[in-house]
Amino acid sequence: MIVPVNLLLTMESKEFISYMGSSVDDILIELEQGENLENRYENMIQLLDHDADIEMYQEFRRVRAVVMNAEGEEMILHIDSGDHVGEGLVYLNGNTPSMENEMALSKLNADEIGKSTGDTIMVSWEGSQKKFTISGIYQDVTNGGYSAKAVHGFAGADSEQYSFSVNLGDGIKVREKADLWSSQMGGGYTIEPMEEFINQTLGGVTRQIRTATIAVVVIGILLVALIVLLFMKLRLTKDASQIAAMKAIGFNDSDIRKQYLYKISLVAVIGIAAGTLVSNFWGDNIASMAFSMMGLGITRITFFINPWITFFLIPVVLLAVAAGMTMFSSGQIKEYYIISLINE
Amino acid sequence: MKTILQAEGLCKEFDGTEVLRGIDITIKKGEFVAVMGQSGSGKSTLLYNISGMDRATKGEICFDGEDISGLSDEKMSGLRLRRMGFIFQQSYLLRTLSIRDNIVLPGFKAKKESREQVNTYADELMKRTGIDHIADHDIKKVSGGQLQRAAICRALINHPDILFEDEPTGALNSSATKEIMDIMNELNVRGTAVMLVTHDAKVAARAERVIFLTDGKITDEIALGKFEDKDLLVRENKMTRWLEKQGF
Repeated sequence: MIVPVNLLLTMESKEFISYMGSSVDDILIELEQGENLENRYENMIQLLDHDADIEMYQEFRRVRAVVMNAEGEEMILHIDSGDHVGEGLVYLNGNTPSMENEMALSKLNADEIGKSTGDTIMVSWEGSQKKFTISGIYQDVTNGGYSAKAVHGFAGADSEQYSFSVNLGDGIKVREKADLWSSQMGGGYTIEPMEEFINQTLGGVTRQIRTATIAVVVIGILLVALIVLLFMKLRLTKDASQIAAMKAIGFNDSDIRKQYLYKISLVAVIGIAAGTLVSNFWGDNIASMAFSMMGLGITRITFFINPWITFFLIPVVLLAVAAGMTMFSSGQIKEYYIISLINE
Repeated sequence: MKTILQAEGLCKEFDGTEVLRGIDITIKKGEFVAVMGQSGSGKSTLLYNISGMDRATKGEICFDGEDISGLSDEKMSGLRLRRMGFIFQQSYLLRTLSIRDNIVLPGFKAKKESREQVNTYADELMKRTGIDHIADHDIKKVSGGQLQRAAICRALINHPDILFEDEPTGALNSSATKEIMDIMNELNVRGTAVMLVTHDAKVAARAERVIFLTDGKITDEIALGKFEDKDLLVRENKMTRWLEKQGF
């Protein structure tokens, strides 16, 4: 139960953008390839340079290059180029490129090309060629998981896309600013608050995971209730003569029910505590394996945990369900009398 | 002698069938009363209703002058714990506890005395009943007679005013039966009242008064007087003749 909840919380968190090949910023702007890409680029620069509400922005240019894959065949590599490209990403190993001759690859690209951190790669574009050292490998679910980052300018290469990551000053309303720019710039620009970008990219998946998580939580609670109910039924049937004997010597129903409550609660506390610790500290390993198998470009995910929910609320709810079902099912104790046993 | 237990007009119905029909009975403090009757005469039902283990359909029951007919289950449990003792045909000791722990459990629960006092009295009872050497044994590893003696100790741990016993020797052989009844008589001499249900004339002969139940009513009664070991054979013969008269 805790693992899907943590997964949902992670996917709904702003920081999840780091798995999408981007850093955590306020607004994301994209200029797609098409008519007058360079003019649109210039217009965007004009706007951003003259808006006092902007704290800082970074621009990235996507170019298309050619490399050889692991089988020795040519493959297209889409590279994001810019001064601070690759910062804020989650690296599996290595780090962001800082030198002109460095490049970071997404996990899927690295596997396809057959390279790892420290290896060199020959990149060709528009009649030029350069050897790059792989500075790091990161996780990226966008573009099917295939991307690359480099600070090199790739002069002469045609631009496929321009993107800007914008951070606004404190107190500036992100939604309003994005809408203002959209209305000012018109068509050909995608200007979105980062959260909306995440929603659009992952919204469908997140909704499905939310539905599945709710189902898991409900089923988990029902399972706990059912298991405790069945266990208590069996246990009480087995203990019927003992319970009747205890009642005969002067224990009342409440005394006996409390004994079962303490026993079940103790076992539940131990089990829930162990499960909570394992889920919270190793649950992301399980999720990482699942993501890795899905081939989305993520092989290692670190949960963004809400401690109040995963360390307190869920365990307390489970314990309450176990205790509640124990008290409910132990109600049949009032029907156990020594005389019934003797009469049987 | 002061009355410890009195029932008037006691009736009990099960699914429309009258099992007890207007029973009046009085037990004095320190008295030893045996209840006999044919199978289905209502003797166990009388025991359980008069002791509050079951609820009578009609009638009044007074314990040491207090009406207990309408007491709540919780208050009745407390009364059973602190002032009554119960011994059944099976010992019904708790499987997960040792002999000693079974005996002291009601004592710890009642809190009439400190745990130390309860433990000391438990040791005394176990010695008196000859089971002190098996105090820490698992109940699965002792004989039926020893278990029944442990049940007696448990029933006595809170110094009850009265012991209720339902066929306490029913599952025992004759030598174990004699040992148990010797203990019963000794307890009775020390002041504990006893109400005992039995089908065994030799067991009933240990009582100072025997009542005979037929179809839920008391139909006869015989007074045997306080028990003395030397009179056992005479008492048994007297019982046998009396029971023949009852058609038993």
